[in-house]
Amino acid sequence: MNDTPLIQLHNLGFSYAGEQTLHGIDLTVNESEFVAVIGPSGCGKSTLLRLASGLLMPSTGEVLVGGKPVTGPGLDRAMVFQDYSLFPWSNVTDNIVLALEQTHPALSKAERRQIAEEYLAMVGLAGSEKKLPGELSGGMRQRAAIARALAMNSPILLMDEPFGALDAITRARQQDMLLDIWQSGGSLKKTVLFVTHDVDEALILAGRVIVLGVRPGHIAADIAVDLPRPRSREKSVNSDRFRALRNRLLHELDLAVTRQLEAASEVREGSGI
Amino acid sequence: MKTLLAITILLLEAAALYRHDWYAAAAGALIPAAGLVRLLFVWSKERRTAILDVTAVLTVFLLVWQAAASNFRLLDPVLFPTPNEVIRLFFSELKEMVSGMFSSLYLLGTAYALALATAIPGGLLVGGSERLRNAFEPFSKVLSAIPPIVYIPYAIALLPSFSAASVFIIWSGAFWPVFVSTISGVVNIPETMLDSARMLHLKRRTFVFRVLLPGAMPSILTGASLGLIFSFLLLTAAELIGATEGLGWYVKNFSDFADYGKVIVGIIFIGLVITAITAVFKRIERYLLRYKEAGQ
Repeated sequence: MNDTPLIQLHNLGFSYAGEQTLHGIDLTVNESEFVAVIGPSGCGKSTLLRLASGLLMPSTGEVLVGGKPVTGPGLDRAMVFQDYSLFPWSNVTDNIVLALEQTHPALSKAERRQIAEEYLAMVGLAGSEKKLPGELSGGMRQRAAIARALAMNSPILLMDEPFGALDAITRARQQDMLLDIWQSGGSLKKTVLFVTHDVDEALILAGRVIVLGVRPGHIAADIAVDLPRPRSREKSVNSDRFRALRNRLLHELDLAVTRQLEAASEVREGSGI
Repeated sequence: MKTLLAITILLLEAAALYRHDWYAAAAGALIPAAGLVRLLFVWSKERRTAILDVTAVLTVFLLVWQAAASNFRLLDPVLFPTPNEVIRLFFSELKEMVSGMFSSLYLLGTAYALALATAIPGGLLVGGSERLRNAFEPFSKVLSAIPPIVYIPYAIALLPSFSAASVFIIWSGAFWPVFVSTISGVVNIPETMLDSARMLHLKRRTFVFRVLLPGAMPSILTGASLGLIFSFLLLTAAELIGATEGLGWYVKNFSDFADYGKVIVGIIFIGLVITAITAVFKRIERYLLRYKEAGQ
């Protein structure tokens, strides 16, 4: 293992249609770190993730992965979206096999199928291998998308509010599953950049939470989540440390939202002159 | 309803037998009989009722037509042949009409296949690039708005043979709906799905065949079904104008000779052929979009 952080964002800025959404973002993420990015809506947290993925190119600064500048999407980064990660016209196995054709070109068809089935079993979808995404519930679809991202065996996992569209109970189950997989270690302990708007989700999963402020999006706080590992939801949620961290995060978010509202009212007053 | 059906059949049969019209007798028995045989294989109550109703409507229609044209002489016998006559002609003309159908289907198939083979790849190419889309949009707007029938005289003058001219006309009718719908199909693929594909770093070829094409397929099929309807329209129009064989020509030729029995038979046959082709198209469409039925 070398000492270069796996992901480095240097003075990252992004503007679209004359509006600056992100400005001066400096962030380094080490190998096997689980980092959550949280912020009020419109803070550019998804944009930040898309810059890291290479789907978007920064207006200023640069993204380095393994010390090399990112010039576009790459197989060293797997991404899970809130929805539509999978292609609805292929069953879940074929969806994973398509990804494996890219990441494991040397394997035979049968070997790819076998890997796909292993990962589907890992996320609790054994028996649903032949199901189309449309035949699965939202939660199961996200499990399949996570199975695909893990099967690709990319060192970096980028997750854009993967559980944001799920109901509370399903969401909790998905968080537990992801936590268990990540904590099982080895090659499954990916470097994760996880975008969410859910404070509890960030604290349960991540080792570090980045709070983004608004106008333009910037890093408002970088908080280490020093809850002991291996964690479980129950142990974490009932600890005093969790509550303290939760209050601190909520406070930071509250500040960010207040600034957003102040900025908005300034704009409104300004336009009235 | 059953009594009414029985009476209708008996009346039709009696009339046919009285006239020693064996074709009509056979056909008159055939329609209700076909309906009743079908009932043996259908158990759903709604479907059984529907089959009975369809059989009844058809038989009553034939009966009224027969009565008006033959028994009461309400209609001009030259313009309105009796259903018996039409049914008899249908079977005696079947061989010629089938050979006409093959000539028509050859033109239709060639032109339609050409339209799909040009419009779908073209639409995927243009739809996939914003720059190409902007470049082609004004042209496809104007050109797709032109009714292809206006090309007919020019195409006949321009191209060496009737078949080449009609293939061109049918192609131009089917091309635009497929082209335009392929473009809109590509544009309407959810952005996240495309991002997901980009993250997989797919080769261009894989991206086109595994993402772009299936993603645009629902829209492509809507355009293709519209293109098919235009193809029929233009095929028959072209045949009415310049052909020496085919279904459109068959109708046109016999109406020149005021042989309206054969004209009606030709029209009915065209209806049946188009219905059959449309049914096959629907089957293919359902097969290609089978993942949609599985969902939700």
